[in-house]
Amino acid sequence: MSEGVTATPDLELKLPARAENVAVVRHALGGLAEVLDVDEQVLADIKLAVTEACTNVVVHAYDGDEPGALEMAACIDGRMLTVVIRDSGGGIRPRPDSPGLGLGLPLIATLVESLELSSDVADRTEVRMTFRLDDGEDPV
Amino acid sequence: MNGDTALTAAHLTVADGPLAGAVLGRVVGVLAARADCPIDRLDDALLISDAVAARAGSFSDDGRIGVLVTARTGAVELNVGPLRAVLAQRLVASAELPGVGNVLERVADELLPAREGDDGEYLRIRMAFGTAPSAG
Repeated sequence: MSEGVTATPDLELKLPARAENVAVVRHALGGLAEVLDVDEQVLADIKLAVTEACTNVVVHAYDGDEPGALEMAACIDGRMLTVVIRDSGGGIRPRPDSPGLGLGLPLIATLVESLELSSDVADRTEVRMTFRLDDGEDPV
Repeated sequence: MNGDTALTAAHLTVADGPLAGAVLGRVVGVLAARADCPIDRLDDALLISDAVAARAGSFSDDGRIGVLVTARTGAVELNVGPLRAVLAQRLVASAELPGVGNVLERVADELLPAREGDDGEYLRIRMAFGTAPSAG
């Protein structure tokens, strides 16, 4: 599932990590899904997982008022899609004062084919999600 | 010229081909809405993004289209590039449609090719919503 790791992404988007910009990422994915003719339910799952990952960046990645960067990269490999959500914040760490319920990553894990949390060479935190673009049924 | 406040910006890099139009159109649409683009000018913004998506790939070094989309108060701006040297003007010229004229020149309020260091050339396309573009 790591074919998308080194490949040049088909789509990259970089914007300030603010709540309203999560919608921009969702719209960009909508455009990608339109071209790839992705099933509505599959797209809903992709958007939900990516929204959770982006929200984690917005809420947890950066301290202070000035937002850092929220980056999204998408690689298409046949009927598999890898989406990477990246930030340059402090990394994924326990947060006792978290405003959330802590359900984001478990929810993502239920929606994806594979999930990896890591840092890239520039020490940016990455959430790498791979999705199957058909709904798992064999074509007739 | 562009002294109005930047509300937000998104830098998009996309492979040339059908993906470019679909994704750039969506991103421009969202950011134009955030810049309070009136509904009758949204089509114009999408015309610009379609023209860029259709042609910019052939003027870039790696066949990928890079666009910085900035939502400002009352305006939306696309910075397209980096493009190969002296090709920003050719990108504008390539948007000529028979019987219609040049889409970019007709719809945009400002088209400004600019060189940014060794990085290459950029084309700034600005659409303001305070006034309608002059017919021409």
